[in-house]
Amino acid sequence: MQVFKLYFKLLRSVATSLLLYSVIFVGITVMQTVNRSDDTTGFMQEKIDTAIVNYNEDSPLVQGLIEYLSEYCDFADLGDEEDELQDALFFRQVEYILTIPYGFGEEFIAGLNVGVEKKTVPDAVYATTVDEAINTYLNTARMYLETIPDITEEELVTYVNSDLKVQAQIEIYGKADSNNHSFYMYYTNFAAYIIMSGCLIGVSLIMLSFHNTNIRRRNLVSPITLKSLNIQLMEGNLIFVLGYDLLLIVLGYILNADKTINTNVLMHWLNIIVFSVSALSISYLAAMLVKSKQANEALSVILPLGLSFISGAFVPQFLLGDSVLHFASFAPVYWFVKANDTIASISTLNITNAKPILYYMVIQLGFAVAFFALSMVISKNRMQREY
Amino acid sequence: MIVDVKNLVKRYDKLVALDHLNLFVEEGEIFGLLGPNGSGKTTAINCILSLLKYDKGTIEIFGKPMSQDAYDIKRNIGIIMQNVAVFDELTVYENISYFCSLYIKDKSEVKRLTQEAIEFVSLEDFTKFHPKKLSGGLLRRLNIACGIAHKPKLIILDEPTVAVDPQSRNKILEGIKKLNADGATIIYTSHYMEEVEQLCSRISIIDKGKVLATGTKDELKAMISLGEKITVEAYNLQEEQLDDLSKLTNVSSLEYSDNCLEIKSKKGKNNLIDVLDYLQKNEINFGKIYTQMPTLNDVFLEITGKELRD
Repeated sequence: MQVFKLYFKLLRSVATSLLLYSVIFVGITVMQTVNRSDDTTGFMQEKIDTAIVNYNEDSPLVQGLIEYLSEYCDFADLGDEEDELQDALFFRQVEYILTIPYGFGEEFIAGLNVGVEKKTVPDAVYATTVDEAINTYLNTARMYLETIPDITEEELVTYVNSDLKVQAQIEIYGKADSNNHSFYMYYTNFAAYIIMSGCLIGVSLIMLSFHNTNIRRRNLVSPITLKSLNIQLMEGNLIFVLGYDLLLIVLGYILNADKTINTNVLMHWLNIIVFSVSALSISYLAAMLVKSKQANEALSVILPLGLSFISGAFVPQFLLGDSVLHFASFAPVYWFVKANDTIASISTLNITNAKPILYYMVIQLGFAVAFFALSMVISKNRMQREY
Repeated sequence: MIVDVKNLVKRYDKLVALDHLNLFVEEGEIFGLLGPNGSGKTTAINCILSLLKYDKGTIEIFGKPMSQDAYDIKRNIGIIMQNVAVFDELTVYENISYFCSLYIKDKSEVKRLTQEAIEFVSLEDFTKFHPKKLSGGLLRRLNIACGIAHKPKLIILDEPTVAVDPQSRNKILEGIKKLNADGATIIYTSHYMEEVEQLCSRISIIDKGKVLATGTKDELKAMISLGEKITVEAYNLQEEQLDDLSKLTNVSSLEYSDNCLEIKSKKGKNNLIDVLDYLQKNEINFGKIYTQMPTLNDVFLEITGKELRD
């Protein structure tokens, strides 16, 4: 077991890097968990500080609109001096300035194409809410105008107000476990990056040492068989990777406030182990292709970051473009994230809804087999060339 | 016989790297394989160790055929490669201990042998150092310690002193002599003729994959016609005088430039006296005189028509 023992001695040289990665991972996870803690049971409408300049105060339509908008806006009367309004906007006294032009109500009733004017601060997040409210009110009013040509302005306001008072009721299902699901989905998705970096830092570096021509020759002239050497190396790799998985699983359990271990959590853990096997295979292949330790260090930063990003480990897959996801589907990280997302989306796992998850895991194992096979072919070719 | 190589042929496509190479190494000797770079020394060693497949010939070590899975043979061989083969991530002690443990199962024995190897190469003060912190010479000594820690019966050293400072080189050469004195048979390859001449009891000169000559250094030198080289600091020699000198008994060739007369003479007696007699009789002023016996380089030059370092 000399080679096996040597494996862990060599691993010591990258222990600092691995520890650093793990600490950063824990730090980011803690920060994200705090930020993401979602105890929302209800919803409260934000109101935007809005200055209103109304040149058509007498119009019932305008009065109705302002009344409706008061649900979305905190109105302030700052007069109509252009400079003062601009200053108020600049100093964020208000975020939105709504100007209703002269004769707006009459012209709207007459069917003319008129509009209100607005000014907002750049990148005003909530401005869209006000825009939406104005559009909803005026579009509803226009619909009545087109449907009932002889309608009076007062009638129109009554109809619109009565329609817009109707609100949909929403009930949230599966709320009980959502925190647990959300934590593990985020945690395991991000773990893809850490597992892959860990494998490339640890496994590739050690394999590179053994692939060094001079060391390989020294091992080959010793009485240890090639088979025994490879088996001991593989044992070392598996124990390292499974140990790293265990560390991540324990960290996840400690960091998550919800200590429930249900089938979903177990599936997340299984997915981590399956993915780490494919990450191990990638590391094997990388060690075959990369020529130097410096190149491997660069690869251990770029490859996990790149693949994790395009596969949706950092940002949800639904936010990524189809072409990006299509490209990402040629890497196991994509299927790992997909499996995590699917596990998190299911409240109660059973044989039927677990099928796609198992399918994604099989794909990851398929990648592992392919990468291992490719590594073996390269290794065999190289040995034949040198022998 | 420890090593017996017969008719070894190794081809790389059209290039014949080893051309019916024959070698034998007796127990207890330091056998030198001398040849210029690219002559086939390392290829021969790699074939002997089954690191390279060969096209023809037989190799026997300790009287048994050598192959990739001849682990009982490998157990008794120590190899020191041309390039340093150690793990950068391990300390000096850990490197020696690991390579020793590939041969020896008993832990306490590995510990003892590792310590002995460290003392043998004088690396006691560097046991906790990583290879990157060692100088070139110390690194070579570590490389040697990794190859000999398990006390092999046969030690193969492939150009172990390349790019090594003179102090470390001397230490290495002394160490090799001591290993041999302790009972190990040594195969030593080099293109440094001085090292081979100083160290080896028997030498094969190799070029273009062929053994050109084998014997002790004296036997090799006896094979060539050159007796000695006489160098005289002589002033204003005329053409006729040079012509007369070239006609002296045993003179095979002479060169004269910058007041330096260099005469190569065949084997024979009184060669120097004949030259000095001529200079005195002709009242030719001369200064320093020295003679030099043939070297292995002269042997190589006469056999191949080129210098060892060409």
